[in-house]
Amino acid sequence: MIGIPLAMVVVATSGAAGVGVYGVRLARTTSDLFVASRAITPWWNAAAISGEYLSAASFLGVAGLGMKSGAAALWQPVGFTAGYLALLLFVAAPLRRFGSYTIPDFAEARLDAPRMRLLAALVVLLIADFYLVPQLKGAGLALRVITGSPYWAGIAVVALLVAVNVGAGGMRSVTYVQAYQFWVKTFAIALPACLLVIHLGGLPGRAALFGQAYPQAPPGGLVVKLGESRTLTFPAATTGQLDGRAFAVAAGARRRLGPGELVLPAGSAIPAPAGTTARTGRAWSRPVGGAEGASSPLLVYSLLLATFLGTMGLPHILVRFYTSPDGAAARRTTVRVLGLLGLFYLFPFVYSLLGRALVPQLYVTGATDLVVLKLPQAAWPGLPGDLLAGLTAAGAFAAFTSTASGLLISIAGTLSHDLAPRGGRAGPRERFRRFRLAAAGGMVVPGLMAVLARDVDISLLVGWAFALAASTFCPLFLLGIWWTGLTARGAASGMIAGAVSATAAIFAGLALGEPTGGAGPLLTQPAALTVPIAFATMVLVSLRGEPPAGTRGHMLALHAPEGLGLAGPER
Amino acid sequence: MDVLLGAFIGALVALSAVAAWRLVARPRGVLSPAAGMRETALHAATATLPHLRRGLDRRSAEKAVEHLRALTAADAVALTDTDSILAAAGVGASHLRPGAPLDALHGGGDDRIHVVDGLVWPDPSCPLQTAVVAPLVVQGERVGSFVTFTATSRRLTPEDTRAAGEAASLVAAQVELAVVASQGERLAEAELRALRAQISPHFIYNALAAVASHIHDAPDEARELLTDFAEFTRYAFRGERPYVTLADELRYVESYLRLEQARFGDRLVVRLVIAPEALQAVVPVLSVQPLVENAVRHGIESRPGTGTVEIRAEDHGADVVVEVRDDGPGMTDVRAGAALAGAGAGGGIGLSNVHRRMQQTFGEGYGLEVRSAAGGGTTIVMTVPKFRAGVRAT
Repeated sequence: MIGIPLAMVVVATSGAAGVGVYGVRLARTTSDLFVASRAITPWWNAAAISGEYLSAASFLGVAGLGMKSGAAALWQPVGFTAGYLALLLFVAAPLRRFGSYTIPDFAEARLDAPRMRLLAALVVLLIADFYLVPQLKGAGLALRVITGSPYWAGIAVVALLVAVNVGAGGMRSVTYVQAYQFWVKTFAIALPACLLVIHLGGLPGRAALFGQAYPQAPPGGLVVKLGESRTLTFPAATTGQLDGRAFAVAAGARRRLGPGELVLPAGSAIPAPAGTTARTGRAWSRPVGGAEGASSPLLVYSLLLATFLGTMGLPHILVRFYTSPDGAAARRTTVRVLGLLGLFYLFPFVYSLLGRALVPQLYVTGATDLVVLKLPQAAWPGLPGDLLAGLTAAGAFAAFTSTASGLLISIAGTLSHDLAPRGGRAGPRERFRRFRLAAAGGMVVPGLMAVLARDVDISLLVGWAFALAASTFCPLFLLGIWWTGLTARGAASGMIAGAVSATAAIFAGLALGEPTGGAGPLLTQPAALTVPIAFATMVLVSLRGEPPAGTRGHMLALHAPEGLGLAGPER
Repeated sequence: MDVLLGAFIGALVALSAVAAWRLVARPRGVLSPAAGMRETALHAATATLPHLRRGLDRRSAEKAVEHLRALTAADAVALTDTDSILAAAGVGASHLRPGAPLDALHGGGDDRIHVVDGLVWPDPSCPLQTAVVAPLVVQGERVGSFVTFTATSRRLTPEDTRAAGEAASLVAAQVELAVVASQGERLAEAELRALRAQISPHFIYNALAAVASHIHDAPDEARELLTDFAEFTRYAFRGERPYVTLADELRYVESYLRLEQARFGDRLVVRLVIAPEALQAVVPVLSVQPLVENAVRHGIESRPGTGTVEIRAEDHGADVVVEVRDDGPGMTDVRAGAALAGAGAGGGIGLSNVHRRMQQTFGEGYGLEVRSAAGGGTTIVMTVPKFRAGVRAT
């Protein structure tokens, strides 16, 4: 059982290592000396961007959230993909023409203010750390499912693996490696989804998906091991057993149960743990509606805003556009990314649909994030199920290692380049040494946070990273690229206002527990509040000052098509 | 668990709040009148500087005059070049239109401060009566003047004259900086021209000879070689292109290498290992080619038998590293150092030229590094940042 998934994870990972080593092709003869043939095509770069982007949140989180919240969770992949539309429309081509490699580069050069580099670097660290935590959490969960190791051990193993890989020169042929990882992930999520649907002959338990029924215990009864005591709400009158002792509850009763083995007879409605509500198929399959939970309209819009505007502010994504030779290629690349992500996101929800009928015990334990890993064996017992489970495990592993590598490269680059005392003075070797040190050190904080964040949903954690990016870097890019009036002071105030309000809302949401009621969703996903705050602050403070002297030149560099020779060296 | 996580994020919030406060808050305090004036003067002075550092013209003068008026506390001030007014500010500034000739202000045309009294204006309503004309002297040459005006109602004091003189020397110092900067640029251009001139007649002769030798037995190849040669010369001698992408530079290195391979045949083995992520880095024009030419000369030309030239470009995070390696006789550390400093014999001048231009553009932490041992081949390592503000390929 352990052997198959582990073997497949090892095969997929060593495949990535192989691509890394042989990705830069050797050429010895004049005929293939052409440099042009080495340039990355938009398709390759798009696959690389998608590979770096599809994280544990997409591979595990979307399906998990879908199982938990139903159709309302579909807004998340919609937002994840639509974010590239915003990137395509407003940012990709101008930023590529500008030539800046990282966000701190852009902030400093566009506003002629060295302090902006510092501020942008701090925000990069904040966002990248927030985004790394769910990756490591996914690693902890996945390795526990595969090998039975404790939660923290998986985090430690993956953190170490990624840190060593990045420190040892992990960006070697990174484009090919990430493109490979994209196809691994897409294959690993698509093939089991298709085969399982074919094997089951369609969707089982339709009443629980679209009708009036709650998810039900399977014909053989449901056995769940409760590791700690949990408060469960039973949607229907149920009789069950806990550690062999029978109990009976009325419909709507709350009962604190466990630790122990909970047995529910066949056909009984599945109870929901605290913080979630058991829903009938009809409620579950409604995308918007209801004042609370994941389908509250305010939460949906806030989430859409965060993902739509946050994607452009993800530090590990933007550096990939540097590989495009010009603005037009950057735009072409982004269109292809939209297509590739659209392809991938067809499949996670299949796991949500099947999981609701076949692995309802995840509702009881609250671990819906595991549905992608647990479903194949439950749906197709025996060797085929084991093989497919191995495949999804390998995909999950690819998901969190590739995203975590990209994020750690960003963190290490920021620590060693932007925050180190005047990095330009040190020689190349010294800079590389610093980068390695930073790669090792940069993993510590997110690792510790991941150990602490065990009970927070992956998709919620990722949502915060997006909210932060949307309320800091999105206004910086949109106003910096499209408005001549932006000043350094305005940009700094706006970014700080966005970062502080978003962090404060997230913290308040954590401290108050699952918030409900009118403004409650804003604490779960603060973007709808914090993005306008950031924009307003940036505009108002900028209006009071004078934009930097070089603005016209920068605007020319951002917007004049290449090849006209308009945006030459300044002065 | 939740409590710990909360504490963690709380600390983050506190840190960001402190950072916000540090960035937004300005030191406040009650200033004594003298300190207040000093602050006003200092502010006026620092506000003037950046504008004038771009050189003295109408645009920069326009930005600077208002601050200069605050600095000197005169009724009106004007900046002029040697024959007309560039910009003016203050009472009656409407009479001092930019472009107006300076005839009225011409007192003794020498390089000392002088006072022109009883000014006569075309419009008699102008209140400006007295002018103090302070020359702007840059590198021993008069480039214009700084003029303060006093209105009819006030008497000229010696302090007015002194303030005008001090302000004029401040302006002159800034303009001088601009001149020095443009001289630096011209120097860099001159170095590039020098490098172009160095592309050796020897190589051109050899390339043409190689073409000639192919013309009869392999006319197609000869035509391709001529195309390469044309491309090579166009790239090398086309001016006004200080920076190019590494992809462009490598394409040019290719045509150079094809010409060399036509000459050396199988004796020259070329190996290229290029990370695609590195191709968009911006490098000074003609920065990799001299390194390759150097490798060909040291690794192959100077000895019998085959030699290998390997060009690698790697992605190192925020940097791109280009390595050019030959397996020739190599050199000692002393000679390697001398080659970079420009004191070496042979190809050394090319290397030092590239090294200097790179350090001028990117700063001390970038440039060339020579790794070599006698008998062990030579590797020249070139490091460039992926982005540097204002440095853009054309």
